Amino acid sequence: MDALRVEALTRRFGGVVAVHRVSLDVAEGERRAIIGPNGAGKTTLFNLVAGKLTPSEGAIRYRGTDITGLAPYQRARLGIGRTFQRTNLFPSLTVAENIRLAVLAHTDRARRILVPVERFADVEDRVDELLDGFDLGGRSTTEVHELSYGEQRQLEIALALAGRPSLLLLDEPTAGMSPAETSSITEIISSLPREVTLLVIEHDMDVVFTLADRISVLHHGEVIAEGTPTEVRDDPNVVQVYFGGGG
Amino acid sequence: MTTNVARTARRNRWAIPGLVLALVAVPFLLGTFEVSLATTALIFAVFAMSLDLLVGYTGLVSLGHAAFFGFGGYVAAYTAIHLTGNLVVVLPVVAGATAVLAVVLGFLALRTSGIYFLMLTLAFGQMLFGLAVKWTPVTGGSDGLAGVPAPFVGIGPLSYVFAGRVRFYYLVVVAVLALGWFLVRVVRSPFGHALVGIKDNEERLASLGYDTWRYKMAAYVIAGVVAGLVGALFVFFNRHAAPENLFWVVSGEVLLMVIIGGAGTMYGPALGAVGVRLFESYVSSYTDRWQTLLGLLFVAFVLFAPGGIVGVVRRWRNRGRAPG
Amino acid sequence: MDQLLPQLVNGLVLGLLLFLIAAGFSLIFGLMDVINLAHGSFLLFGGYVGLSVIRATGNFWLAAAVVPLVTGAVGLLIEVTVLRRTYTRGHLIQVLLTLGLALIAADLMRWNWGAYVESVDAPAALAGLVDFGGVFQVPLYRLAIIGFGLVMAGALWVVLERTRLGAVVRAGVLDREMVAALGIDIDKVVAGVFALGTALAGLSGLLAAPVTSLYPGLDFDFLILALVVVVVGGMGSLKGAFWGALLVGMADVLGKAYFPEFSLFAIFLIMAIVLLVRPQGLFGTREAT
Repeated sequence: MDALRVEALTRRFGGVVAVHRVSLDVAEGERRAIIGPNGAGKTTLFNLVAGKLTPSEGAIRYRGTDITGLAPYQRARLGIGRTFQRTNLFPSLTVAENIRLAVLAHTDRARRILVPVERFADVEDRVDELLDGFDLGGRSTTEVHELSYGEQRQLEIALALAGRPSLLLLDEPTAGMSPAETSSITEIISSLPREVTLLVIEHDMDVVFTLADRISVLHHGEVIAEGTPTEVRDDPNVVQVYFGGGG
Repeated sequence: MTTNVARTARRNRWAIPGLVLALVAVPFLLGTFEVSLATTALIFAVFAMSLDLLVGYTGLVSLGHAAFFGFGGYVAAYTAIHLTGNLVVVLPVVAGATAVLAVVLGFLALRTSGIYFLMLTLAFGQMLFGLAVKWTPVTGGSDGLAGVPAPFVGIGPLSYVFAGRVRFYYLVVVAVLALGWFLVRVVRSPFGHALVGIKDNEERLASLGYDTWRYKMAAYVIAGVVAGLVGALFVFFNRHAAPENLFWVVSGEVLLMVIIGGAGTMYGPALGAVGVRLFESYVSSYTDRWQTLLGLLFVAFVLFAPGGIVGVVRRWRNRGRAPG
Repeated sequence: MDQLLPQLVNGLVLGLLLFLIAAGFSLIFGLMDVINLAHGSFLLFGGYVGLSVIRATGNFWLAAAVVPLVTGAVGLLIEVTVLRRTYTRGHLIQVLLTLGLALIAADLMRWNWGAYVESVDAPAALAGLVDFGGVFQVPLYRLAIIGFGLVMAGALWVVLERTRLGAVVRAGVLDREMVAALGIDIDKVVAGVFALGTALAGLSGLLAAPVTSLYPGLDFDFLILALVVVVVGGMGSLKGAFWGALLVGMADVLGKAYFPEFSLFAIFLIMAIVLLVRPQGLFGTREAT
């Protein structure tokens, strides 16, 4: 069974067709990269899968279940995590508090109103686990707005992983990063357990070729090529789209 | 505005016992005027704290919180006059009725956010005010409901009546400490943390798996019920339920208390409420224009110290620290 | 039934008065993202200023000329000195500021003009009743308000839709930064719109006075109705303000005529329905959430 199956997904905004009959089959544990020039519809596709947008046509299946009508929070509960292109954290909370929120979401404690939040040992253990895993242990009591950009991007991924998702949507994880930060993040992503299926939007081709098992290329809202990195790199359609030359 | 979720006033272990002691000592040290002033100041302190749950923690700025305060008061008055003044009956009735009102209003208002939410809460508050003024057979119209009996607990010969300024003051102290404790526990809980998440970044919180609408609704109901309960106390204090308690000026005043005290800290708004009540009491003995002065004070805070008194104190404390 | 027709006329009167207030309010929000809680205060202030002018000179028309100038000027002053400082600081600060101003204004007006209801006479030229085929009669003054309201609606529409200034304002409602980036002095436009809005509010106060009388509390009575109008009609839309105002005006008047104790519920009901079915308002261009 596929982890994610997108069927003829279409999304229109008024007269503009941002995504047109896109179909994808992503297998369990696969690492799929979505690439394409700006305006190709990658973010729209992402938002459709994440639930932020509803499709004009088509369906989305996650592990066999039709999730097309589900709200983002319901998809998260099913095991879909996502990061955002522009860092999207909780600015007035500390690093530890950010992670704790993410961890609590997948426990039955998230609605408790009379117990102080640090009381749950298993939650605290998981928070420490994530802090260590992302090298943020020393910054746990720092408020988010005091972190460096790279640290914020790391926290971004830590939050998405806190709930042990089985499908992780990464929206341009290395955007705006220095080469050192990029390779650090790429390593973190590579070392994610294989049980987690990855769908990644990326512009940095080195990162794509390091991480991806398969690549889907989007252009004008349609999938114009799909295959292994080598296949895609040699595909004439793709070459044309990226380097011009004719229509 | 920085919120102080798990860090709220935990520093000083003697703060709470000291506070309790001070509150208990008031009738012994000060006269009846001060006792009355303290009574209403404490009522408004919790009223402000309940609004802080919405404004400072969830990010829902309501300009209609007086609706619950006044409504709770009317329900208490009606129950005490027509049924019984036994608090064992009155308080649950007030809580239940206010909860229902909060669910109905919240269901509509929470379909919006930001400024629309604010406008709607203002409109709902004024509508309830209008209803209180017009529905004379039930609410007493613009005269309100007078002759509210003193509340009591117990049955028959074993009942204890909270008549007299001092007895009533202690009732209020107990109630305020209980409600205050409750609110502080709520904001330190996972639920309270999630509320801050909603205020900071609702979209992100939803993508983590939180049904944010439910959280907002719960916060709205909790805040409304607490406001309703202290509104009931206020009506018992005055022996009178008046439509003025639902008026926008009261909603504005309590919002003012939250901002001046420092939103998002719980104890800030409590201090703000006490401060504003003292200010009103003091200034109104010199001039009738206390509302103008209060408005000017408010404008000054909004422009120059939006973090309130707590914010000013924090900035002053951090002045020695290097930035970043 | 012979109650119905005069009440429909009254509904039209209130509706058009509401339109005058709501239009300014809606444009200010649409353009500046500011909800001016003192908007009702400008209305009441205008009414009171007009009252004073009439008391001093006996001339309603002079008042009608003076009032919008005064309230527009005060609005401009407030925008430039105080309100402008809050634009970069978020909605909450702006709202709180205008709330503080509303508190101050309400108190000062009560101080100067008293806490009692003040009635204002319609101008002599518009006194008297108009007979409609012997079936019912309507005060000429109220018909005049309907006429004036329609004329203003038309004039505003022409300015917004057919002039360059109007295009700038409309563009600013949709994307303020873009307009500024095009080199247009958006600050001046904003100040101008604000002053126009407050001028209109003040004038409405004077026009409303012979119908509603003036009293402390009128400021927020009208503000609430204006808020409901923009929620129902949609923020930033002149058409929305127009139709929303007529709907709310009718509902309020008919509600009061037939269900005096629950008249507010008619408005509440309309607002609830709109919120449930179309939260951005009937003609709303912006999202309500």
